[in-house]
Amino acid sequence: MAKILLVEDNEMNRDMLSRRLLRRGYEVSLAVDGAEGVAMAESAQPAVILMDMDLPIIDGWEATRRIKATAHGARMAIIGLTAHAMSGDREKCMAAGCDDYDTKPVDFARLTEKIAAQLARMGVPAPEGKS
Amino acid sequence: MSDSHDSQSLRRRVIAWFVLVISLVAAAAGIGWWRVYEAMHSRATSEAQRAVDLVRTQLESADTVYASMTRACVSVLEAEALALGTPSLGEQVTLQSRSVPELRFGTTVINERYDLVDGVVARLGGTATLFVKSGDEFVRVSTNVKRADGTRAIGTILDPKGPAIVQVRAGRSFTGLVEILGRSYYTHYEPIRDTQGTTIGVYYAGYPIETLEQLARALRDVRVLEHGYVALCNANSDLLYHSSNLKDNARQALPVELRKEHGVRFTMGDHEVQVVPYEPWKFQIVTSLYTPDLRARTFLLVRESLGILLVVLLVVLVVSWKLAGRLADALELARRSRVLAEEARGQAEEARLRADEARVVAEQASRTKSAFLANMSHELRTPMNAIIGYSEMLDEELEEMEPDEARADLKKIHAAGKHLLSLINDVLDLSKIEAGRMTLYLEEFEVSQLVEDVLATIQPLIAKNGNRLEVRGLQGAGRMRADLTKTRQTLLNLLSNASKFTDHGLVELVVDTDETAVRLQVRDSGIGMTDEQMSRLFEAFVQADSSTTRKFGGTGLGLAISRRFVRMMGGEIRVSSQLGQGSVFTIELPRQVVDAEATAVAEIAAEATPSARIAGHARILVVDDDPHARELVRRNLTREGFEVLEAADGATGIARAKELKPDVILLDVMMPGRDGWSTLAALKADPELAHTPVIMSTMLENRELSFAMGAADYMRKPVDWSRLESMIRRHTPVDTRPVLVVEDDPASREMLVRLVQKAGHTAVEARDGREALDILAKQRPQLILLDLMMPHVDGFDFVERLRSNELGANIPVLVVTAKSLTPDDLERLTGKVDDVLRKGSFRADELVSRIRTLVNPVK
Repeated sequence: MAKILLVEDNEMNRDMLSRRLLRRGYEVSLAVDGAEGVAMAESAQPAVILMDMDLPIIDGWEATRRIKATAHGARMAIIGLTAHAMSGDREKCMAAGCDDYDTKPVDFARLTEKIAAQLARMGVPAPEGKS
Repeated sequence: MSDSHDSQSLRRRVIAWFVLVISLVAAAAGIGWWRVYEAMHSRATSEAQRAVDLVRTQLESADTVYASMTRACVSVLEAEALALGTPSLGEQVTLQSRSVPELRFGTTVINERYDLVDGVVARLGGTATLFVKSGDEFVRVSTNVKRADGTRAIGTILDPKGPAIVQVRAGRSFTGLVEILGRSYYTHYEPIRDTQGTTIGVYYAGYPIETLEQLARALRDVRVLEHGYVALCNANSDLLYHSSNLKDNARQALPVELRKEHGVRFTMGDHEVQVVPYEPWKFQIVTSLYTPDLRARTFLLVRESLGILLVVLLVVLVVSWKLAGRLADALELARRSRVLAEEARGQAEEARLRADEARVVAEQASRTKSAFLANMSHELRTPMNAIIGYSEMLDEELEEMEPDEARADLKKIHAAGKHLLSLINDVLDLSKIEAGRMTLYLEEFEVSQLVEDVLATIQPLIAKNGNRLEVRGLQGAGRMRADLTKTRQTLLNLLSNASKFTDHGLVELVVDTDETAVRLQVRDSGIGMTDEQMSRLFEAFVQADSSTTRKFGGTGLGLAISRRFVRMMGGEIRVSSQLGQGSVFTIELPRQVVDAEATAVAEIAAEATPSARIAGHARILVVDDDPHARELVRRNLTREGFEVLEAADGATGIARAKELKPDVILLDVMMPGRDGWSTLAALKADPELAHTPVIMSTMLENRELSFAMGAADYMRKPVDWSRLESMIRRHTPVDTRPVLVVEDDPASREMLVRLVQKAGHTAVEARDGREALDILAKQRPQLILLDLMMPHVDGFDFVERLRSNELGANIPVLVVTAKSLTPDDLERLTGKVDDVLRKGSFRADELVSRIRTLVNPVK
């Protein structure tokens, strides 16, 4: 079962994304800020982390760095999500250790493709959810 | 400072130069004076010498004449005597009690025999005498020379001290002037010799020197310079002849002075007297030099020559002065250009520094702008994310969803959409402020009215978080002058923040006013802020915590906008807060806000017929249950010069419409209770209100339904404000009377006409006050745009005549002038015109809005 950790502080976005991911058959854990994200990455051991970059307490970049610094974390795929669509945001994400990057508002089909690609890279089977 | 210094010093130098030149000239004049005086003196001396020479010549010729005359006379006497016989001495006889020998010629005794001498004198004039030698003396024995008593002077002797006797004794003849008995005689003495050659007597002939007529005549007109004279005195210093200018007192004094034997030269009063002797006669030729003559002559000469020199100098002085002025100007110019060049260099340097600074500022601004754009992008994307996400989900899951579940998602979409809208509105406001295009609309209002208005709007939000609201200090807060809409919006923002960040606590509004300021303080017992949060509070898109948007909503622009509004009005917002204890925000505004751009203008406008201005607003009634929507309408329409009234539901809307008679009603379709459609039906059923145009505002396309129900128009939400504005204008009864544009400058007139047309009116043009008055006689415009400086009848006179005329008294006048108004001008205009705009300092849209404000719609 592909496990996904969604770190997102915006309640609506969290609700919406988690519901849609659940619908695709993913197992979804939730964290509302960077610190919780780092803790959940350790405890929930997700295969993929969807990391909002603009987070309270610890921002997404810092959380990504901390997760990637752990032995488990280094094996997890982190996809950075940001509403900042400015040039340079992608580079900033990748530099922090993200494996991929997407912008908000989320194009859900494109996001699931990216998740699937990360899972395939790690050899984890993607769920057979409804399309 | 040294601007005038240089030219002054130059002038000083010119003056110094002239002082030098003039002293040189003076010195030259002094030397010249001396030289000329000397020359004059020597000239006078030579004149005197000439006079002396003249006298001498005359005397010499007289001498010659007398000499030959006396010789001739003696020769005749001798010849006639010798004709009597050879001369010899006879016996001693007594003659006049003197014993003398007889003088005989042949046998004729001459003693006391006078025929000989008388005969000669009768023929040749003068005097003739025969002397006989008696011892050492010579005694007159025959003579026609008379004694004082008239008897012949026989028996008298030849002057033993005289010059003649020496010669005669030596047997020689003598010719010359001799004093005889106190008179001057020119004489000739010739010895009478006997046959042995011994001198026995003397022939004498003489002429008294009294008749030098020619000399007298000549001397009369001789002058030495003007007042110098020439005089001739005899050996006794008796004055014989003189120039006619010899004064009486000098005539008396001169002989006296001469007898004092001063020598050859002496001074007598102002006269330099020179005495030249004429030796043969022992006469004195006196010349005098009158020194004032010398000075006068010298002065004249010097003045003449110096006069010309002075004229030349004066001309040179004037020319030099002018030249110096020009030179000074040129120097000044050069100096200035040097200074300017230096300044320019300094300025260039400064400009470079400023450019550097500007670059830094620009970079900073650019970074800020980028950050702002990034933030805005983020803020816009977040609700968009929700809208798109939920709508996609709904699309995917709708069949399987429970209706309630779907409604919950729809509500989220709606909320996100609304949030997005307010965000966009705020961003637009902010950008308007940043671009300096936000204008103040100042008006007078009761502070309590403002507060009550805001409280009504904020109440639901306060209630939502279970807060309590307390208001203090409202009593006697009085009136203030400010932009009502902006003040409202700011206060609303603070109160809504306070209630957002406070949960089941207290929100206080404290009104504190004094003569000059109005303070509105909003206190809450909410979460409070750290210092760091406070410091960034008023920046765009910054909330105390970036998660607050999610938790508390809001655009993050409210405070930024509020602060800018308050600052535009010359006030300030302050904040103090303690984390966990709550925050205090204070708006401080001047009681009388002044728009810096139009201070004087506003004063006039305020004193001008205010009722006319308010009457000029078209009145719009907005019926909408959403206070936010009403607020938006108020903000946008007030700005365009409309008077906006509000009603929160259909029933209130109908009541207020009846009471306030709006020109247009803006009616929201979606309202709880009585919805828009049924309100519209009720309005149309009421005969009083049936004619009032109603614009429906709907979320959906309801064109047919709107028109079928009797709406005048319909408007889709979100509102396109410019469309709404033109829609309202279409339905506001229009005054078709023209606007009169009175302006002499064709370009300005054309511009004004275009703006009038832009404001939706027709224009009539007048080139000056006189033409305008002619037009007024024929038609009545609804507004007059008036220039002040015009030919013939100017703006001031025009207004005077307009207001004194009954027909023109009520026509609003908007003065558009380039003249800066003096207090006098203001006084002349006050109460007569409705508003004044300064050319060049107003924007076209401002004028258009003023025109709209001032025109009086027919109701």
